Amino acid sequence: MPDTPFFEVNEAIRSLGGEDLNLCMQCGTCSGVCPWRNVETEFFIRRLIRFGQLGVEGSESEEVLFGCTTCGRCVDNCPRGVAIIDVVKGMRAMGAEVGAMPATLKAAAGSLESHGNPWGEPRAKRFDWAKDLDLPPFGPDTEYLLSVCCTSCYDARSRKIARALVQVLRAAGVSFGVIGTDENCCGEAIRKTGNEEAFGRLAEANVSLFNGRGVKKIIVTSPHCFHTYTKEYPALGGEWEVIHHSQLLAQLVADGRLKVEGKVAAKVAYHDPCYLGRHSRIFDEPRAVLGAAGATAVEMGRERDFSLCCGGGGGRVWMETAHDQRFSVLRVREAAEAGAEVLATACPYCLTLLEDSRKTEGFEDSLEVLDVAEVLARAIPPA
Amino acid sequence: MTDNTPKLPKDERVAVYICHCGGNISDAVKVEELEELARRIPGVSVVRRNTFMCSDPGQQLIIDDLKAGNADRVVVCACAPHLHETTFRGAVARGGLNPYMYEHANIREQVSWVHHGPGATAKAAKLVQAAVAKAGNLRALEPIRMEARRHATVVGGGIAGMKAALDLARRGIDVTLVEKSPFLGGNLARLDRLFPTEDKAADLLASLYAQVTASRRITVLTCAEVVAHSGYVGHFDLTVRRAAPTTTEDLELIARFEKAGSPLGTFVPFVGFAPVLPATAEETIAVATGAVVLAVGFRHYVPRQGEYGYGDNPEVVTLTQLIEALAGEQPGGQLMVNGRAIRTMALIRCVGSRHIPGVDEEDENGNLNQHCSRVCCTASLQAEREIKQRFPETVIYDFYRDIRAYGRGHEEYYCGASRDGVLFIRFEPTGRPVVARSPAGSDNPLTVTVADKLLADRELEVPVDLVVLANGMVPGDTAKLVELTKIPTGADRFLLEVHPKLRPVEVKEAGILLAGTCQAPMDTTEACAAAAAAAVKAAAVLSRGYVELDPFVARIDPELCKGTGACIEECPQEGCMSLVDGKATVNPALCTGCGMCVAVCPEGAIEVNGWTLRQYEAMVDAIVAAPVEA
Repeated sequence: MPDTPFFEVNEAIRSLGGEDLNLCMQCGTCSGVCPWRNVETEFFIRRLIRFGQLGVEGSESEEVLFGCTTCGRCVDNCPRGVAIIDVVKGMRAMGAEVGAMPATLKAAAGSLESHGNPWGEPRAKRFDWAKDLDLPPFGPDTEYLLSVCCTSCYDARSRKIARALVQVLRAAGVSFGVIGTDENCCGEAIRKTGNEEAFGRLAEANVSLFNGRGVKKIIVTSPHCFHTYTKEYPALGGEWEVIHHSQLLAQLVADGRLKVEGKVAAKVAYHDPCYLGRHSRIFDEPRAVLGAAGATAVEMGRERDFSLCCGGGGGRVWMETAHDQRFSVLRVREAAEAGAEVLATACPYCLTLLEDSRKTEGFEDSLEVLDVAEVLARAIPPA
Repeated sequence: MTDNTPKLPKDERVAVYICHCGGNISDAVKVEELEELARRIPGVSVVRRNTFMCSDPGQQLIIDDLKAGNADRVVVCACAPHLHETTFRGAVARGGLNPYMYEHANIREQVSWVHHGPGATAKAAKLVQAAVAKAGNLRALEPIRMEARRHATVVGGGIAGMKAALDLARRGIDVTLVEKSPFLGGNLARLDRLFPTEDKAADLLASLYAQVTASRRITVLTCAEVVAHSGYVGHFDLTVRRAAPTTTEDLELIARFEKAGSPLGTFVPFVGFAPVLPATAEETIAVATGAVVLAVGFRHYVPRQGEYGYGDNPEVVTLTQLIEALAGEQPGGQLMVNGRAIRTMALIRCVGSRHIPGVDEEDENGNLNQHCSRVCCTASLQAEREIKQRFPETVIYDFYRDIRAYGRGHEEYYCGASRDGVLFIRFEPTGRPVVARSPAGSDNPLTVTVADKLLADRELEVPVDLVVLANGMVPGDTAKLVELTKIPTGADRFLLEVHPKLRPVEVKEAGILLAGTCQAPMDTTEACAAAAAAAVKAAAVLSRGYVELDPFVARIDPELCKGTGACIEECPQEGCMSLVDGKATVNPALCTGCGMCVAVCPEGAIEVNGWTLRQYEAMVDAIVAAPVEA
């Protein structure tokens, strides 16, 4: 049976944020540079866009409609400058309208609605990670708000990033405070799943919370929060000086405010998180932090603009990915092959996925996965 | 190098110059040895070598020797004559000698590039010997100077023709502009806005028309055709026939013109300008002219009956027709074509262009249009953009093979149309879209079916209200003109230039130039550029008042000529040879120096200047003679 193009679908996708849908000339560069080319898959970004342009069937499966990790490689390489991620978002929003939403994403959305975090954890436990740290509340006397990613608030492994960061900030005498349980997920990933409504609620709550508390400067621990706070919140009235912790740490070292006395005598490979590197153009500071810790840098290829996505963006951090489709597996293998003893990164999603793959690939004894803050903390004597 | 050559007891004194060509020659030919051998050739008065004879110091050697009286004829042994023969003739003239007292020996292409070892030097020596022998028999010649009429004829009154006429007139050349139809403006009068500037075609034409008709140098003849042509550059005689229009196309245009009721000299949309009323009686006009600029234009491809449903369905139109519909009244914010409301439309590209042998059907004359028409891509995008901007609700499906938005500003139309929401569907030439009437009860009268190349050949059925065929450009009716002027045409049947890059508006016959779309599909920008180039070329020849031609033409010895007429019969150039008072005479402007008359003359009364039998004999004698001893 021949298909008949359904132009209303095309128009709907464009009205749901995918304005550039028809600007795509189907050259296929996007599919060529897509990280999915490293594994077997049904997902081809060019083809997904084509389904959307014609409004014909073919994009319904979870692997196709929700395959994109929004890593941004295609956007960087598109000869027409198509905002491909927005097109994906529009198509997912269109899919959501007809109920094509994976169960795991529905669960994450539900948790965001009821708890303000995607992990199904009670709001009251948001600051359990810092129970014993006696963190000051954010107020007129504190310079920075420390805004910790939901993942690092609840996940046992990820909490260590936040704790290491606190240790380093204290060592440098940085003035910061926390808001506590009222904070919400930034909403970056849920927006990429096409759930504009959930994003809107979260963003609005955060903007009014931060503005109400007189926040001027924010330290974020996730490149995803960084992206949202710097690129999406300003339109909603949230305009603050936002700094990713890798930037702040590099600055503290450079200014001499942080004395690094110890040395991490390890070979360290650095994995550029998509949202810190490609999306936010922060490449040098995390490397400077590792250098300050005395680490020996090893190259594992696919660096900076060419970084290989861990697989956790675009809502996929909440979804199950078959073992042979995990980019993070390829990444830990690359680190191991390069002779790294530590695979460092600067994103809670990357860390979670790489940590998992380190274990499944049998590198438990030979390769550590650490955040740059954790690496630096090791070079600083405990207070 | 010192000149210690002994003066030989002969009248002729030949200077020989040997070029090393920076090693190109001297790496294979032992130039010192060649120099010594040349010195021993009888008649040679001076021999010199130089790394590059074509350089200023190289040429100065010749000039100095001639001024010092060291020689009265010159041989340069260097590259092929087509490269630097003119250069060295110039040096000879600057040395105060007749420039035709010069002979060239090609020891690069004919020696050093193809021979190595001792044979190379020996062959070079033979060629030098032959050249010296010919040089000894050279005679001073004068270039043939023909009076040139300061008048040009432009054939075709479209934008290229008007532009060429105007540019010629501005350079002081009188112009007769000959237009076949009753109207000036050509195909451009049948367009609306022009990419990439969005100028109104009517405004451009009106500006040119006003200047053309105001110019006292330009005579416009409408309803006129060139029916006979003779002569040569600077001196062409044309016969122009002016007659009442009879073609369907002309009669349709006249009907429209009359319906519009506009006064003469005003622009009638999709018709053009009528400077005078159409001719009613036949008359023949003789035009004495010096150069002819052909600006006879193109025809829009008209699809065959049934091609993509054309002719069978009123909802299938050409891009040309769509452009006209868009330019007309469009009340109510709804696109209307032929009285039908259009909500969804398809546009199919490459109609009548880029045909593939074995895939596409030939026309009734066995022709395919394998060329790309170049303008339809951007013209289609332009029309689509206009529709999306004026009637944003219109859904447009664009069926394309490739999109060639090649020119300045063209890609912006492509991106813009995409951004405006035009949906592009790619097809293969072997899987062209099929246009058919929709089944009864359908909302849209037509359905276009195609396999989407970009979706693994998935078959798509697209119901639409209108199908627009982006028809290409095909050569105009140039058959008569080609027969008349013998201008070659390319495989695409457009008129063919001598060289696409180096002589882009010239044809083999001097004084005839090409301007615009009679040569190839072009947009208005390119057609005007070609017209300007043709005008400059013509003006350059005519404005001096004379043309100078090489003197290498047949010369008849009236003492020997018995008027047999054998030469006239054999001469391939019409009008070149004739009998006057029982003796053969040559029109040097038409003679190409081919020498066929020389071969057939039973009396041996004909010679070709610069290539006389005596000169040939001397060369042959030199070649078969014993080599000069080292």
